[in-house]
Amino acid sequence: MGQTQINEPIDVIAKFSKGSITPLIFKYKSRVIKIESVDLKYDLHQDKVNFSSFSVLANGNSYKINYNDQTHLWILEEIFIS
Amino acid sequence: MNKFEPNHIIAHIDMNSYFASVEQQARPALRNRPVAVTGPSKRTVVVAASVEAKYFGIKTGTQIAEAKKLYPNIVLIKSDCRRYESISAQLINIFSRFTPTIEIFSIDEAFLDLTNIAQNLSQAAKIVNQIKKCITKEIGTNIKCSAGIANNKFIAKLASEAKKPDGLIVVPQGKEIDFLDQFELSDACGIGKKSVKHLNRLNIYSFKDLRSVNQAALTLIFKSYGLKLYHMARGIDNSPIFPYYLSGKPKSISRSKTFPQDIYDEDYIKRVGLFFCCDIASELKKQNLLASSLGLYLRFSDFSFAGGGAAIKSPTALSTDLFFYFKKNLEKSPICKPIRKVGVWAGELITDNGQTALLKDFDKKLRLEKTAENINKKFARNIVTPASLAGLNLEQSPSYGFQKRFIN
Repeated sequence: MGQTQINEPIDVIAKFSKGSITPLIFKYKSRVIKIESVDLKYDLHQDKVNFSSFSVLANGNSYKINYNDQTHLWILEEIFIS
Repeated sequence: MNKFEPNHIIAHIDMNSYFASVEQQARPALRNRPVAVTGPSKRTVVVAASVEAKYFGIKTGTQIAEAKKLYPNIVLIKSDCRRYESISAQLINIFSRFTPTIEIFSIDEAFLDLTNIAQNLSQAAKIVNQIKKCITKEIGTNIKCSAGIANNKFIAKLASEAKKPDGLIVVPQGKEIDFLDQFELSDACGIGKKSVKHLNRLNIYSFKDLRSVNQAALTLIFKSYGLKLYHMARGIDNSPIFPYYLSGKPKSISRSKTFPQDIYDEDYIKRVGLFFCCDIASELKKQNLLASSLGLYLRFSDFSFAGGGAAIKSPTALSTDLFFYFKKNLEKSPICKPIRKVGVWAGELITDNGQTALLKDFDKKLRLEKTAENINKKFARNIVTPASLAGLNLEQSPSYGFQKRFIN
């Protein structure tokens, strides 16, 4: 059990609906990972850029992924192996 | 009975084990497990413990080795300040749907004025229960809070402490003293360890004892604080709610560093102090603030403390001025043992209303520092710094003393 910093760009399939974003699936190291639940969501504002940060559960592990509102890039920031 | 604010309805909301609960919310595998949130450095301490960890005696300030001894399988999670601040903003957003008058007391505590929102205490309790539901629904089921409702802030805060986690205590008007008498003096916000010791020396061990001392005697011994104690002992508090949108500026700005190895070298501590003073000065300028006091604290390898603060003659945002007071404070706290951690804080912050620009020398120095800071910001961190900082690289987390202040 422990946290590992990743900070790598990833591909994400997300639902954009009624002004909110819900990540559904992401691809990391050629593996397609289906998100089971979004456990925590919050918005960040850093250097005039807005980010949406999600803590998601997939395959029993927790992942922290961030969406950059300006560049539309998704970043896998951290994995927490349970 | 509160003779100042007889008809007020104040709720105090206190998030339970806030940082740890947020981390447990983010990672379902951590729920119902002892979790300790730690600082960013290797030789850190527990900055927040989950409800489950508290059961084993682990609390804020516990050393990591001690925490592992108390519960060997404790899960350690590095703190994520941006996350806690963002969730805190969501909490304020929820509170603001129920009342516009909110005082942010700290990152995980707030006072809500429900006076014109609820007609009576039971209606206020319903509102607080609705707030609790909104928190769990919108932020997460693991995010819980305790609340207290009373006709003043002092009693409301004490009430929120009385039942944790997820409690709600309502103190009806006229029952403040009965409620107060269930608590120790040290439980009250505004009665610190030093005050308790002082009171104990006077044979005052309880609020009942405190009530037996008249106002004149308390004022004679404790000066203006004596009047506060007199009111506290009677459950009286006339302090108003400071709405967050009127008082969003920090009350203090601090920087600290726990070193990977103990430090013996006074010159190195001075360099670290200068680095922190530059960083604090930059933040002061950014927020258009001036510091009226500066302090330092040293934690030695045996975990003993030294340090203290000093008033600044003319409030300042200049790193050179702050460093002058840093050195002055350091002289008063001689380095007698290896140092584990050093911290600097600038307090009693006031808004720079432009008066300082009238001081020619100050204005010149201020513009010089601002130019250097702009260059650093544009190109990279610390391109233009005092020569003695060359080669010094300290990664540390900023810390803001937000709203927390004594009630009364």
